[in-house]
Amino acid sequence: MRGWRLALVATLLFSCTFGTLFAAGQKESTSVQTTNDGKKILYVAYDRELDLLNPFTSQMLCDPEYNVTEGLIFTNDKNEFIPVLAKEIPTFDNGGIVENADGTYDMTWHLREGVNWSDGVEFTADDVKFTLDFIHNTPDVYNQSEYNHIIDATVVDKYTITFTWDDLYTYYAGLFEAMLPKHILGHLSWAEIASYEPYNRGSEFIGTGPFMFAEWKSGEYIRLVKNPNYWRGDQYPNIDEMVFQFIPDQTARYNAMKSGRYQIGQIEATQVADFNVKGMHVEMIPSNVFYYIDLNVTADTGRPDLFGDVRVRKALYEAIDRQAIVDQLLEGTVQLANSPIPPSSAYHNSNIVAPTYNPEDAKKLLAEAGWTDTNGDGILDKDGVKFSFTFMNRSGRTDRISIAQVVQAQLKQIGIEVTMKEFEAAAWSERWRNSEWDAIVGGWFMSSDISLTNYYHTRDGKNGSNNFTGMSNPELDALMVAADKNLNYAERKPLLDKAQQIIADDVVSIYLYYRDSPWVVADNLENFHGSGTNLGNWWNSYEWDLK
Amino acid sequence: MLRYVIKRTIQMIPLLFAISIVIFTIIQAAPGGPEGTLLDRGMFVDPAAIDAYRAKLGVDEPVVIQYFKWLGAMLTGDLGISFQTQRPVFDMILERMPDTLRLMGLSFIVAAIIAIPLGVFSAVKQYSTFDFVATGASFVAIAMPVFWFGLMLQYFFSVKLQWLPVAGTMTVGVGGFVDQLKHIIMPAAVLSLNSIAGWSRYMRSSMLGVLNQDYIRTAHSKGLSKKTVISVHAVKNASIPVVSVMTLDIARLFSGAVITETIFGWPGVGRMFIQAMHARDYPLLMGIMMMGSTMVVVFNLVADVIYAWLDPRISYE
Amino acid sequence: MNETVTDVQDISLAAEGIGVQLRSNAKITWEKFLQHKLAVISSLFLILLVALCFLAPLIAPYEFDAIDLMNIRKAPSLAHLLGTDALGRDLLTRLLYGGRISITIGLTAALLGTVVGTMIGSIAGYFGHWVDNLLMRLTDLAYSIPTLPLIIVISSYTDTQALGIVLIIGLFSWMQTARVVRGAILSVKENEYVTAARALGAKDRLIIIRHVLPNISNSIIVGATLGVGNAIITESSLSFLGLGVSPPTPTWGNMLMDSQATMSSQPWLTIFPGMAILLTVLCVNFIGDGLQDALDPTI
Repeated sequence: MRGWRLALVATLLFSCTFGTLFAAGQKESTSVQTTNDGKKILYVAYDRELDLLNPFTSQMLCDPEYNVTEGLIFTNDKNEFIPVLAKEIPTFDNGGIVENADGTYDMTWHLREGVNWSDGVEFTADDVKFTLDFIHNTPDVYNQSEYNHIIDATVVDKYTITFTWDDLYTYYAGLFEAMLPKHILGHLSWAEIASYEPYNRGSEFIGTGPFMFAEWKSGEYIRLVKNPNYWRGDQYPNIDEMVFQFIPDQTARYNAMKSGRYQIGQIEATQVADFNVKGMHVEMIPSNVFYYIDLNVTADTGRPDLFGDVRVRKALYEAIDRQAIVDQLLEGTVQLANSPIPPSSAYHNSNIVAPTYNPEDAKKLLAEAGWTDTNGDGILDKDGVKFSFTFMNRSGRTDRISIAQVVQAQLKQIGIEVTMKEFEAAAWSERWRNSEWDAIVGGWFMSSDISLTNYYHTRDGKNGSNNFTGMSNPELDALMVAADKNLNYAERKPLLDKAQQIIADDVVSIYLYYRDSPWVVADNLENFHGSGTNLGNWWNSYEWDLK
Repeated sequence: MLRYVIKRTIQMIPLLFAISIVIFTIIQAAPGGPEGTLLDRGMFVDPAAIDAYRAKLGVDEPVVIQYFKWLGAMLTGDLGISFQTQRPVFDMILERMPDTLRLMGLSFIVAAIIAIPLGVFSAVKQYSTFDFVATGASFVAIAMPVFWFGLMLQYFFSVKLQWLPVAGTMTVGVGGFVDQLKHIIMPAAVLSLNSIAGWSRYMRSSMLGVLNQDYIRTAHSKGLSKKTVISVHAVKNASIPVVSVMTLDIARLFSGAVITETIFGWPGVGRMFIQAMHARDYPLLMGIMMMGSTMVVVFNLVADVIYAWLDPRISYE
Repeated sequence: MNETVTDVQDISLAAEGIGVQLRSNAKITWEKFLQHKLAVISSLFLILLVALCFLAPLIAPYEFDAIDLMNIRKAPSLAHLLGTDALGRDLLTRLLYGGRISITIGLTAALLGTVVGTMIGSIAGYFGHWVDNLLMRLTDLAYSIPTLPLIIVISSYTDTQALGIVLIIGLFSWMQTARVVRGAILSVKENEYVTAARALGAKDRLIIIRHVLPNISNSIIVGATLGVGNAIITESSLSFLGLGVSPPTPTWGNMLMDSQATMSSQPWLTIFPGMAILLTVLCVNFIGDGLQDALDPTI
């Protein structure tokens, strides 16, 4: 008998444990904490921990540091660059950019006067020059090569600096999103600055921004406090403190937001429908992230035998029910994509004609390209080669792995065999860069200064540095390069429009959706206007308020 | 015994040397390199810059040379500089120690206090209701993954009841003992539950074995009260297996608990290890793993000393 | 001190005819085991479970990777007896397929861990001195090998990722058993009947098998029982870290992992794989109990 009792007890305990899930009352209303000792503290449930605060040498896409340090420019919620420490962004029209006789360009920045670092020292053009010199001399800066096109910099006066560019680049106004304080770091060598712990970890991390660094508890949180001498005036910032708590697990972060102890935090698309907490709401922030499937046609390491024929690529595009992925898998929280440029950008082409879901036509196209099931095993073949390829998945990216599985199932319907292989992040990254894969599901952050050359230009050592698919289309190359060198919207837009259509026609990449980032925001947080750019949401944190 | 301890301590040196070679080989064999994170962030990183970066970190040299450089530095007490944070590895590990040990230590003590009496009483009152409940509960605990149990506690106590906070060691800006206690309860409960389940099973079974042995019956017949027999003779003799398991677990205290720390945003060594692994931060990885290995070696020696105390007949000479 | 005397007699008997002795022992053990009803039922149930899982391709109502985006996270119904998962796949089907890997991981790890651990532990503990020192330092070394990086290395260079995970979990689960067995033997071998047996010149192998191991079989069996559960759960934890068996291949572990995001709103996704693991662990435990009673010389 004894065993039966044991089995019974175990089952009972087990069901009790699960039972609590239902039994627990539906108490999900919340009282959002706003003040403490009369101080307004903003608690942020943040999804990662920074490696270091210096935004140039940090290797992570993080943004809390932009509350402390400011740059010449920043991005706002409309995906535009706005001047911050500069009076205006130089253009041809306002005379800020002039072409020199030798084909180089001079770009002059006029700095805002009367801006002080938070320790009271004035911010001047010397700091800008110092920042540029640091970038030029430090290989750890992730986008150093963009700055390398500035071949000379002259400090004209305290508030004016002129850069000489070797050519025109679309990102010319998207650089210098932060500034290094020369009076703090000037006595160090460039290599010393990169590893200078007081700056990297905060005690000497001085900026001109609305907040000052206060404390960084390794692995747990970063705390920022109000800068009492902020240059925008005494009324800013409204919030006294910001606490970025590192909560990396997505379900834990979701629980954290539901617990009502945080006023802002990012959640996942599949969690949006279930999030229903009094005093908080979900904001879908359009981001510059697009999801896609890449097919590798690189000789030797890729599968040109399968994907080399545009009819085949088009068939794959038509065989994937992208609308179902958007509506069902992502519960309608994202927008169907036909091009890499998101609708939040002025360069988005909404008139693209891209292949739509049509499995019958897909089969026809494959048959035209010579792919038929000759041996009756349910898988297409041609000249003895099975139409079978492998998705290289990056472990931990559950959203992309889910998509890969859906695509696998959908392609099976038209007789294409897809297998899956998962690699840990760093291993995945290395294989990807070596083009050692068949197909991937990817997601990219498009910067606000749209440029397609990195992704789709033929890889030639100069352009296409992130084109690992081996795709090459000379007509497209010419258009993208022309767009990069043209800073006039009216002239540039048609170039990019045409480029987007060619990408769709040639199926350089199969687009899935543009991601909107769901952020939970407390109702009492005022003036929050989330921005989906890679510089983050904090661009106007000086005017945020907790009521 | 002292001679034995000294002998074993000297033996640790070649052992740790061998361990370091094995660990170094494995982490270097993993594909990908420290430049991956830099590349993943950038869009225009040119190959020359990557080479310069690798040269700066010293990972462009042959693995053997890298190993001896690391070893040479380590012998002088220098664990190196982390690739990610540009900080001394020693500082980074030391900084995480207090919170790691606080959480791990508390859950260890709680588990020991509960598991051993639980195992003893289950054995003494074999097949009683108490035994059934304890056994049943331990199997439920064994069948539950840590992340799952942790998230369920969060859902119940933080979301539904709103009694306990989800993440961190304290409410920033509030602090205080009660606040810290509220933060540590759930992660400590998650960590101790699994230990309780395992240890109490070991304790129960070896206790049953001992209780069936002759000398216990003899002691009992000599007129010693049942309570004395259990507490002094039996428990001591039955503890050897559970001591083996517990000392191995103590060694793990210093390495933290990756999953629990991730779920509860706890600043422990375990999470730092995972981040270092993904970033291929070799110096930090070596630092954390060598510390963990040293603890394993040391505490296995401690276990051997405890055996001799529990059963004086054991000798290593 | 009766026991010691009979034991010595046993040994002398055994020395005369080891084969006969062992065979009759096995028979007695088997008969004792059959008397333990729950152990027998558990064995049958476990065999049934294994059979169902390994016959999954024949009996499962759907294909394990048959995605149906129109039926995502549906509650149990007649069409889907246990409901559907986040990609609209039939949960019952995935449970059956998942059992193939999870049970394999659990049993392989427990078996490897117990056999290797007991062998190393008993040799080290019984012979002591340099043998002990060598084997235990080897154990320290194995215990220091980082499994997560090792899994990354192995899964990067092989195509059979599931097999790699089974092997790694199995090959690195013997150290605890080895430490436990060796610690217990250090004590048991000092018992008078063992020293007496040695004095009488009985073979070491025989002493270990006949007199030492039965006295510590309790701990070994607990270790094996815990090992099954731990191995299945370890695979689940690996999935949490993104290093488990990769989709679409189901395991009970990665099914639990996938269910975590929605365990409050779609509890069936969590309950069924959880139940499967619990039942397996319970069965193994009862079988362990039965074995324990069957092997116990005092009953």
